[in-house]
Amino acid sequence: MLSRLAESSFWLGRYLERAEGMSRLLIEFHQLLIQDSRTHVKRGCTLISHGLGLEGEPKNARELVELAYGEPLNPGTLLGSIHSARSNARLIRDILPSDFYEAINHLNATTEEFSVAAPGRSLRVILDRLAVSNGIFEWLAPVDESAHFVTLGRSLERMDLMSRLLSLKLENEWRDQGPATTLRSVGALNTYLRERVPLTTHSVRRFLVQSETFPRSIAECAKRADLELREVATMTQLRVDDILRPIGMLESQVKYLTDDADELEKIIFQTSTAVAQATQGIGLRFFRPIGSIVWSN
Amino acid sequence: MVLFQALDEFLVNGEPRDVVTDLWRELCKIQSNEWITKAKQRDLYLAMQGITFTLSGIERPLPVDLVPRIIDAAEWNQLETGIKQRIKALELFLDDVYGKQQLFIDRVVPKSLIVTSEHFHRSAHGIKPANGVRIHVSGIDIVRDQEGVLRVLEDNLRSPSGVSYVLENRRTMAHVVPELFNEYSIRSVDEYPERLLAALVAAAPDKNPHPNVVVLTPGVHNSAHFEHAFLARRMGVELVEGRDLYCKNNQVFMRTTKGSEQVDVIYRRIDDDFLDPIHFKPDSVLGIPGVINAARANNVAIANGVGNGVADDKALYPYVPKLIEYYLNEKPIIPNVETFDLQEANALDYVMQNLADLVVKPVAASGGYGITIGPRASKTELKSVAKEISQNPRNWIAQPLIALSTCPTIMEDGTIASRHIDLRPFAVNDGNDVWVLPGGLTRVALVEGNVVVNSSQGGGSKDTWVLTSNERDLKSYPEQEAEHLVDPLDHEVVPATVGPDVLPMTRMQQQEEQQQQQAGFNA
Repeated sequence: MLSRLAESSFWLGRYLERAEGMSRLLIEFHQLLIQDSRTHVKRGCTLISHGLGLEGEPKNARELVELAYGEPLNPGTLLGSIHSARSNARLIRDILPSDFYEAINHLNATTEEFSVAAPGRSLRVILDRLAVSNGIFEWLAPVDESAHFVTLGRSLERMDLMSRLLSLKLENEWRDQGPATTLRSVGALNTYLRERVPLTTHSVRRFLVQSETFPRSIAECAKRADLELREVATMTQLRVDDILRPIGMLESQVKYLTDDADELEKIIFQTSTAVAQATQGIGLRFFRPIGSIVWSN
Repeated sequence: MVLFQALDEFLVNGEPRDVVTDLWRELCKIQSNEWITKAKQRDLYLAMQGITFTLSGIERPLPVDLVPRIIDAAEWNQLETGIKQRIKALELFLDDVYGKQQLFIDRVVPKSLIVTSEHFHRSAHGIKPANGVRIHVSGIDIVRDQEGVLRVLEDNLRSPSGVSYVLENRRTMAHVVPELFNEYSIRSVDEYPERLLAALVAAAPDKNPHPNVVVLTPGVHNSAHFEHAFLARRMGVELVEGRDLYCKNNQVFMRTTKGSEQVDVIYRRIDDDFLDPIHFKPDSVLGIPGVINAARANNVAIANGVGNGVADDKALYPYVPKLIEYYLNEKPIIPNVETFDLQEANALDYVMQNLADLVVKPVAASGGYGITIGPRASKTELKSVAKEISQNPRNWIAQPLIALSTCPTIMEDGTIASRHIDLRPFAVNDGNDVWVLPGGLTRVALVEGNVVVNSSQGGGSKDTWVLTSNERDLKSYPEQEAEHLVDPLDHEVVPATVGPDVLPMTRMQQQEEQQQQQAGFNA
């Protein structure tokens, strides 16, 4: 397939996932922050915005939502990621099922009614639309290279978001509700509780890195990214071992992780780097960045 | 009809109390048509989340009013201490009743009063819970009278329900009216399921560190099924029905795809009468035959304890202050509502003559059923209740009508009006300590002047905010701890990676401009 289409597919997957991750995170931390008007809140807000890579110093829940919701041209924000997902979908609309494109447009349209004052409702609407888009994609999109790039992008973004979330150590800020809120903000609370492990900071962090039952754990996403990249390799008949290396190394570290807390933290930190390296590698190998024009003489 | 001047939780002579000033200001900013929209949003949210209770077989959302009730830290501390005291005394009472029965020898409570209670179960005699706890979960109903004094209205020690709504109400409020939270610092209610699970684990018989805990529900047709499912889900334990369990060799097992699995703790939400067809109702299809024997053999813990009903029997209620003094040698912190024991001849005479001014309640019923409010009742109603009382005074108690305090509440047309409220704080006993969930379920009578707030009588609920005190802040949020040594803010965070469409204004922009210049759609 065209490199340009592959690249847009990849980023479509990443932005959709980013929108989902940010929406969930904002719903839960907004709930937590508004019940708590201590000076402590400012630190919580600063931490979250810092972790999401946003520039600004929100002082309360409302300002945090305002900042994270952001603007269409900043893809690090929620509005920006939805907007960018839509732009990428538009670039490849010729190869997307029309229902899927329609669902993405619908998602984009819901942002017009976003309310910063009562974000819970608006964020849920966004999650609903994302669920519809993702559902249609699973159902209708042909299992071709484009689909593999979408899923590859999604898996890498999930790893990145998880690593960002865990690096904030929000469980330390809110001792009593922190672990449950962290789990909720990635939709993992029920799955975690079914494992019958007490809700402690360390076991929650470990679970989100290592779990084989939770589909968004770093371990499961790395496995998925690995698989998708291999599919792409088969289809394109290109080698991917070097691109896979950071992901594969991470996978084995997670697999043979001991009970050591420092080791766990190291893995969380390395995840972001591994994702960045893989993204760069994928870009260079498959998306063929346009160089400057070479004139022959 | 104005019967009495009730105290308002928010306003004194039309002015807001200090603690609610900020909230009142926010409330006044919202117009009645906005309230109507918010109510719709709330109903939609509750329906989507499936937060319901079943009334007369129909599943409906438990109406949560959008105005919260606020309790300040000092008052809450007092209330919390009082509830702990009451639970400790009632635990000792139950242990005594189903054990040595010293209280009858000391003539603290007439023996006849206890043994005639329909909740007194001989079959529970001699069952000694492993960690001594019988009241794992309690819900003590508290009301504020016209003088502003908080009083215990009744004890619920069997399977008090409503705690799931406390947790969900908070989430609903944050979802629908986040602006009200503005300046307040509110104690969280979210840890309840963990506390409950810890208490249930602590109740397990043989100190098994990983006991198998289950929640036993009557099934989906029960009015509190949402709560049963909620608790099982939030504790991460199995929600079982009686038919999923069986007893063998005085042990309880559940049928699973992996074969039989032993059960160590049953948090049951079904009544004693249905629990074990061998000892109680022989035609019960909800229970587990043999479970009482298994508990007696100390192979399974049943929470709450079998026969607890004897301690929340309304006929015992007037004796509770005495029990607190007898068992703990302390003065009761939260007073009772004055109550006439109709087994005393003088009291009975007085009540029969003043029925029209009193409230009479059947001792065995709960959920607000069977209550007659004298000033509201017709002559025929009074006559028929008088007849029933004279036939069996043991089955009734009488109390003066309490002017339950009121709280501003949103009406269907979006206006704000005063409605009567009560409070059910939930307490969890793990054997070492009694923990009280900050706040609890505030129930509100949605009909004007109505003083029966039970949800089975069409009442609604309110989110209850217990404000944090400064000392607690310091205790709960240490500034620096070992794990904080590396501040997450010191980590360099990579800005979000971005795709091709948002690269700086170079080639992409050129592309865009030149693409636009080309002939395309010409209208």
